[in-house]
Amino acid sequence: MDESISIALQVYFLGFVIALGMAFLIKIILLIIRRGNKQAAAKTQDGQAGGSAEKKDEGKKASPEAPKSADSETKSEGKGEPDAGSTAKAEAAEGKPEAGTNGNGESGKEGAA
Amino acid sequence: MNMVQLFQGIGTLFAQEPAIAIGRIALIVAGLFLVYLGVKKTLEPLIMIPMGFGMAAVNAGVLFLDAGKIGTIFMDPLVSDTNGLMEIMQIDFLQPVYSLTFSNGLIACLVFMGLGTISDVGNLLKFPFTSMFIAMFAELGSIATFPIAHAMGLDYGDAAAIALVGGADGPMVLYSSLMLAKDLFVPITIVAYLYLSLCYAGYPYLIKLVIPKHLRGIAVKPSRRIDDIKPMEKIIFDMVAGTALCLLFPVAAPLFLSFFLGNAIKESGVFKYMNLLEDVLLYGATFFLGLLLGVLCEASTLLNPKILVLLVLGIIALALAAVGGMIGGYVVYRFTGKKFNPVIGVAGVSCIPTTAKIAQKEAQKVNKRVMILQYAMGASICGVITTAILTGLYITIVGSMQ
Repeated sequence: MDESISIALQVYFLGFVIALGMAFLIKIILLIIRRGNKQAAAKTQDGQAGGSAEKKDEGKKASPEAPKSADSETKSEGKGEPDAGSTAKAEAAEGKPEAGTNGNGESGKEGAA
Repeated sequence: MNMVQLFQGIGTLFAQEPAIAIGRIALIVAGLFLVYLGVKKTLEPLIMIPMGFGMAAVNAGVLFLDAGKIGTIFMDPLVSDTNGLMEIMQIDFLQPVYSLTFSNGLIACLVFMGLGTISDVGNLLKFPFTSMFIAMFAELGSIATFPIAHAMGLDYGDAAAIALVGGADGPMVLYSSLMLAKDLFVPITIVAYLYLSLCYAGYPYLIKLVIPKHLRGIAVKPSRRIDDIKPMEKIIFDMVAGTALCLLFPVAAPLFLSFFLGNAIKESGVFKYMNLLEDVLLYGATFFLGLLLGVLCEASTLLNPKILVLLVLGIIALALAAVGGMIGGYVVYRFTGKKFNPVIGVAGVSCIPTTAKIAQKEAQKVNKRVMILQYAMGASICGVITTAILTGLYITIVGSMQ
């Protein structure tokens, strides 16, 4: 009897530690993912903000021939900056299916559950 | 022609011991009653209809086999030598299903895979500490029943297997009893499924008994705004948690793999696999699980004196689990400054999604506008995970002692 109680307590204690460890793991996973997403989003925003500010400056200084060059620069900027561009693309690519699954799958399943 | 030889189902009743003959008749009636209760939806129809039919048929369809032996041509769960098994596989129609899916736990894993596809871990990821905390309180049944069962004369393996009925997960009970209590896995699994079907009927009364009415209708107020969980986050959780748990408990790795794989498939939106797991494998496995459980209910198997002990222990485990969960709910209610509905605690018992639905229904009876289902689902999914953890612990610790 004593041994069975000690086994039960051992199982419960270890179970509790592992369960809370998992909860902690979940928090850390979410924190890391979200921090990564935020940094990526900030980079993209910086890239876009930088691009539009430069566009304005170019517009103010512009000589009669300027619009042409400013235009071409903005275009090249939009496609250009490899980091921002690729992050934005990656996010868009990631975002689309996620939203799709969320909208269709999850709510439907919730109801079914 | 001899009438006993012509109608062998009836004839064998006179050739067997009276206790077994009476047991057979009682089990035929019980099987038909289970079908009736399943059809009426009093008990879970998905399990009870095939199980009831199987139970009635196996006890009715007894015949004289070779060498004056009495038996059935459904299956032989006790056959162990390879030659005998190969021979029986060609005669008994359910033997291949039993030997290749049931006795190795595959059927439990398939059900678990399907459960993964219908579970939304989003609620667990939103409230991980609260959900895990409640689920661990709801494991009171799986823990406290173990020494009680041992004190009632069961060895450690049998005691652990019946204690896990408190985890309220049929596939888990089947898996653990196959690992720990090979001699008793049929009655333990039957007791588990019978009681799990009764949860729906019994838990509302337990909730009313334990939680005062004014607490049952409380709306949950989270202390801060909680962002929605994206599918990619859920998939990463599935990958990390599944691998980590397999690393910790290799003995329960098939269960972890099945559940988290099923969930990752759901979240990744691979609809063809989702349909396969949810519509084909989950329901197919549940159907055969019910049928095999019924066919295993032969009078000679169930006339085991331990069955009464198992019946008592099963109900103790499930009642303690619900009470433990509600105590957990009450602790969270206190810790959060009375902003938590303690009824959610009952969902920590797992039995997904039944207990979560019961919690929502009972809360709504008191307060029509209250919505606690998402919190209850979080606790319920955590219940599955914590039961799997305890299963792994019991198999590792008790298994090494046997």
